[in-house]
Amino acid sequence: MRQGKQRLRRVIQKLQSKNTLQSFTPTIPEDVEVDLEGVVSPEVLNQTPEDVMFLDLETTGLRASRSLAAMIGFLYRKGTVLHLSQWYAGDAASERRQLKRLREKMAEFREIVTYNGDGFDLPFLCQRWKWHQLDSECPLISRDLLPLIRKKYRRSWPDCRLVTAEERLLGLPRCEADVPGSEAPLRFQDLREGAPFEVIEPIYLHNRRDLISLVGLRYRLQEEMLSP
Amino acid sequence: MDHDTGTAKIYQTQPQGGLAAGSGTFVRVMLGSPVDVVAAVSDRKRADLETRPRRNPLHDSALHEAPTPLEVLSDVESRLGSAEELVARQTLPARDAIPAEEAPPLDSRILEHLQKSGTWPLYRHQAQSISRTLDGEDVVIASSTASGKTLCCTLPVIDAMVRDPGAHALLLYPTKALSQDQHRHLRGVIDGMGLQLETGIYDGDTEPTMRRRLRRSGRIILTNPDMLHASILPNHGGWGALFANLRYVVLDEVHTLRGIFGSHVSAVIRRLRRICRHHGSDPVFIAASATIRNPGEHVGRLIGRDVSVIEDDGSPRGHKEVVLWNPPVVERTDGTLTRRGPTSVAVRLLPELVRRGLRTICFARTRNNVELILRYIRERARGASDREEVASKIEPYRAGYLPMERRRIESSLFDGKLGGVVSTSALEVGIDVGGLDGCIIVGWPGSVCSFMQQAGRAGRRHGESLVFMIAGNDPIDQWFVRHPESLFGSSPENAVIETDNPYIVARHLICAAYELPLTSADDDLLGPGVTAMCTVLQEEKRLREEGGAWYLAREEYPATQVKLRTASEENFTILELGPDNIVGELDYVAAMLSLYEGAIYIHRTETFIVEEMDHVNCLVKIRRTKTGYYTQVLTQKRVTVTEEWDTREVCGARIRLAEVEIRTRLTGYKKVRFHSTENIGYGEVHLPPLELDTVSHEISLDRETVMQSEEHGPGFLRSGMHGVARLFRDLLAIRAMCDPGDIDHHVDDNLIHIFDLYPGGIGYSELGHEQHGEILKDVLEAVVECPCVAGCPSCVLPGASRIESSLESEVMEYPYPKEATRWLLHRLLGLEPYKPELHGVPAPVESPLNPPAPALDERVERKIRKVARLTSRGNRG
Repeated sequence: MRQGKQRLRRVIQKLQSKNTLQSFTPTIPEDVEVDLEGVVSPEVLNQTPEDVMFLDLETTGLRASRSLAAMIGFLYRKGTVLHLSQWYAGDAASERRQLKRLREKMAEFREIVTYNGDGFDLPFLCQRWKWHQLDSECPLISRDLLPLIRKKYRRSWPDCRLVTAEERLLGLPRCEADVPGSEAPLRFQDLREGAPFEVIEPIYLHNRRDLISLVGLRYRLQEEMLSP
Repeated sequence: MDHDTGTAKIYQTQPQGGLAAGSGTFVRVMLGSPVDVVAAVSDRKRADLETRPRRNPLHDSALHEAPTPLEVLSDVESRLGSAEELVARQTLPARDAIPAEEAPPLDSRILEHLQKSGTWPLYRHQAQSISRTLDGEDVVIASSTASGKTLCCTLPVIDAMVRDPGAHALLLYPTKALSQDQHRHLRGVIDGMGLQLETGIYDGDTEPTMRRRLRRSGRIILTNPDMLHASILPNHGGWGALFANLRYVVLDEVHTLRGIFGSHVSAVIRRLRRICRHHGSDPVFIAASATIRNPGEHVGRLIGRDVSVIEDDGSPRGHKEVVLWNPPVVERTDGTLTRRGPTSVAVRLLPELVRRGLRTICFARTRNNVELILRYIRERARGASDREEVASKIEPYRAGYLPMERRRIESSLFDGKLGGVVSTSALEVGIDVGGLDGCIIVGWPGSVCSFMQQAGRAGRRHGESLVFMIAGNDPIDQWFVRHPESLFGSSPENAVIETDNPYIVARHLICAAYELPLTSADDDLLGPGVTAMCTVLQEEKRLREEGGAWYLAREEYPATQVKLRTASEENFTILELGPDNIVGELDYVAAMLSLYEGAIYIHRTETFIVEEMDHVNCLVKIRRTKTGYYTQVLTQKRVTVTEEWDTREVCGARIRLAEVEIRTRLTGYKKVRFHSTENIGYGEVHLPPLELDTVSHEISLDRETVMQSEEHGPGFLRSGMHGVARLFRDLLAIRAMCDPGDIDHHVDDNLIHIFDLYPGGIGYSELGHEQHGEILKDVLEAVVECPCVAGCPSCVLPGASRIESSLESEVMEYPYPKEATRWLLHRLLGLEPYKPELHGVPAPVESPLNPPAPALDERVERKIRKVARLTSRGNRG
């Protein structure tokens, strides 16, 4: 039997024309690569080693089996500045590229600091790596701040969310424009369905803020540990 | 008295000595004086009773015993049939069990349970297959119906569960009904052993809460290939525990996984293996099949690796009598002769068997027939209390009932509350409805394999059983009546699938890309061409490459666009107006052909009229009425070429391969009176035509051929065209290695269309186009070598495995189809002109082929058109 490319193409074209799903070209935001100056005090900056990566994922859902790591945000100290990277992935293919780059980037670090990373971000990453048939072990030492905070403040605080920790330990009230992280999946969905890039701008801000808070929280916890 | 003559016949016709006592019992049962009977029962009879412990459900008293099936047969023979009617009787003698020499290395708890429950010792083939499975070999067990294949599949599974608390298993059954039955069986074994195992059926009928529970903690999942394809594999992330620890995959009734369905299933199984590999498991496959000629090859292709074949059948078989019954030719009231329908025989026979305590299954060809048989039985029983009691023990069973209702019928048949059931082929496959004593097949079921399956429903356990095959008036039925040896002698068919069909593979590649990105590492599972195909799919913007892996290019759920069977998965819900309750469901195509405004829907012997079809919500509204008729839809096919792929001149015709659109228009329906089956009126159907977009091999006869055929009289050419088309299709099916039902033909004007019965085409007709000449040579050979004189179903007449359109009747009426076919074949092959021998055919009709239509005056034409439009509007109003 002939199995020519032409014939296959015809079948696919046919399938395609019947398919009611519209194909769309979402505005894919460029990766953010910025050096942040003066967002933390020099004292904090000096106490942050260069081989620590602060990581926060924004995903399209809670279940790794059917969601994407739509934005990978991470932060590290580069000399006198903090370097922020925010990588967006609108579909599985670009997610693969970002996840692969992340693995390569991770090789430069020793420790990874997250908030509830052991419970969510890192398993999520591992599952996505596995799905993409990449190496799926996390190569860094994980330092999750949530258990530490929870252990210390569980009794005295109403909850141990990152926002609460920021308020109580760093004295930072959330600004009005901030969106809760739970809104991220919906906004990513909107973007993929053709909404302008602006819909996920608040997510970028939120993510950036979370990462900076992580640097501060790590410093505070370190300090408290040294001088109880 | 009737009964006396009946028993007298027994004495005369049964040479076996032991039967005297048995029939003596029979007489006493009939006379109702059972007092000292038990003591008189002979040893043989007693032994027989041990294996057949049930009593006649209509005689509850412990002292009343049911007559054996053979006694019933003799009685029924003399009471209902005459010698001309009962044309052939075949005895399949009893066979002893061959027990296993040593027990398979199963867990001791399982062996203990088997001993306790009386399934010990295992038969030789069972022990053999279980040992091999436990060694980690993929096996296929191909043995007769009721040979204990179920245990071969379930015991290793339970063994794995007992030994490893993390083990999981997936059991695939082709139908929902079968998974119900097998689950019941499985639960029986598990509960009998006192195990705590979460098992369940995951199919379209499963409730959402149950689905969640099974995903979370189900250890043994029973499902069907469609569900695996559309729901489980795409969401494999939610089934992590299952796929990471999958030890066994059971494929039951693999002989049904052939043709298009089989080819799709083989792709689904490859996807399954790929997902398993991803999650780190490599399950062993256990397949069970009816006796087909090529079980090993078939299953090997299906799962993509070699399997061991267990064909040795060590199970015992009871004595079985197969009777071919040809209903008599009777005179109608108008003086014409007609053969009595098989239904009328079944209507008398079934209650007779049930009354005598034989649990009987009756297979009818269509859903409508099921309802008709039951309706007639109930009608005949009206008035006589004993007959009514018998009739109340007979229930219908077919697709279109709600799952709950079907489960109830299945279980009451199983535990003996029912005496008989009238079914479509839905109960044909593997449902263990308990030890049935009788089976009535009303009309030829389609294939020898199917016949064997249906006949196998009776006599699953020891003891005697009866099979009645009641022939219909169709030529194929009659052909088998004349050639009963082909029924018992011919070897079963091959099961064939196509695993490299690009049409199928491409579809499943897209599904596979949704599940996991495709890489070149998938070559070994999905086929060597994966990378090449992915590249094409990428050019067509279905996939997108990134770092050596292919992803879906856009957000979609591709599995919903791929149907494993030709039939649509869309269901119509049937709502009864008045009480406003839902009476059933029917799938799209079946609904189209049986439900339309004005149609009579028969549900459990009640008649309903269809008041409204709501196509948007897939809802049919019916109302209960009393009618004296039922309805039959009339269809008309039209083939339109949408794109020509290739064309060439051959002798006597021009052939082309083209994409076509086949529209089956429902032109109306006729009302048929119950019993007399006369037409009492017609109705209109306002429905969108059914559309099939496929590929066709078209043979358009040239003018010369058509002209020359004229001299042989009217009907000659059409008859020949039908003959060629039909055989072409069959022989193409052999070459394309598929089920003839996957191909269809259509004859229209001077055109013969051979097309794939599958949306988008599947490559069969393309093969026919390429090998046009060779296939025609095969056709000629088949016609010439067939020993019949005027044509028979094994050559030019319609076969049984196809649904013939109403147009086919013209070919049946023409007396010399074989000669016509032969003549046309000689033309198409460019051989010497063939001189057909047409005895007494009317002289050639002198009429030009295409008389030039007289030109119409433009104004006249306008008026005619106007009238036409006006009248059509009036009709609609």
